[in-house]
Amino acid sequence: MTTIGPIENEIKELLTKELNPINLEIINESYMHNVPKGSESHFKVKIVSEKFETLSMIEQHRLVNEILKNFIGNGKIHALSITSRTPTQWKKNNQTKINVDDDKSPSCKGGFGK
Amino acid sequence: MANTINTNEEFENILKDNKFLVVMFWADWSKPSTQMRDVFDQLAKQATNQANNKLLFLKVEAEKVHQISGRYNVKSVPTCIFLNQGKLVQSVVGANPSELALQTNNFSKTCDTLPLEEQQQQQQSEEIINKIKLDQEQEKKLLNERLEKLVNQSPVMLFMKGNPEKPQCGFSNKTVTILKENGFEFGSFDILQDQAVRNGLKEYSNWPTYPQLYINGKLVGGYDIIKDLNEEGELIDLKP
Repeated sequence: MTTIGPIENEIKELLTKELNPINLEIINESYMHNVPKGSESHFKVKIVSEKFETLSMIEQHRLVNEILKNFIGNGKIHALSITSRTPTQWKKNNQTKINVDDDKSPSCKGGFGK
Repeated sequence: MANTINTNEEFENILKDNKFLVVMFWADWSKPSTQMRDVFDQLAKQATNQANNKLLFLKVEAEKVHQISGRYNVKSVPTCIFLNQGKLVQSVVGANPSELALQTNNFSKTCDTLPLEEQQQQQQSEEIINKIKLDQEQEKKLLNERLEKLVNQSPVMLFMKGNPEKPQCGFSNKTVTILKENGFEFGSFDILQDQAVRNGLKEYSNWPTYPQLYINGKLVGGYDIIKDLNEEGELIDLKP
């Protein structure tokens, strides 16, 4: 069983509190990168929330970035990949779960900000 | 309430730490001075209740602490003196409550004005700070103008790590691939070569990561959005 680290846990808490998601998956992809074992530097967030219903895709991502700005701004997270869906889109795609393995995030080069 | 001073040493210590003092000299055998002492306490109480109060009120028994009386040439009681950094600036001699209240009020106002030398120093500091702020604002304005030009350099503009021929990051690489697969012609800018653009564009676009794709000067998004738009078949519709 994979242990959830403190950063992943805090990301989960913040997004849950602010967006009350119908579905939320946080994947720590740090193992795919050239970072020490047990790092929490590269994350993929997949989230379905009613709060996205009136927002464009860019606004949805901005909202997630804003919620997690303390992680992004100070370099705690090196890379953050976001997949956001409205409940309508989610139902339309007939998904009970966002497919977490649809594609792994590509590797990135050092220096925060993808 | 005003503080009572019992020794010259006590007074000297207070003088070191306080710029603005109101000192009342009295004697217990003088009825007018005991009456004025009550007025003085009242004024001290009022001043203490004011948020910006900088005055310290002191009571000195004139004959008991004669060094202080002598220093400020106090000849009779009651006498109230106003000190700015130990220097006598005003005095009220005799039992005159309204005059004391007026002078206290005036003195309180002068407390807010610094000595000339300090005023000049403060002015110089403010000028330097304002110049730095102005320079920073000007720099930011110039950078924003430059960014405005850059995002409009081509109808489709990609800010990435590396260049389309040699991307320096997986996210940039995949973005380039998607754009090419959809037949986009696009300009690019390598943010690794320019720290000012790299940092400035994040603020300009309110977008914290790279790559960033602009179409007709408007931010479309980063890799995740481009990937999603592509999968939904919507990216092609954005082609100028």
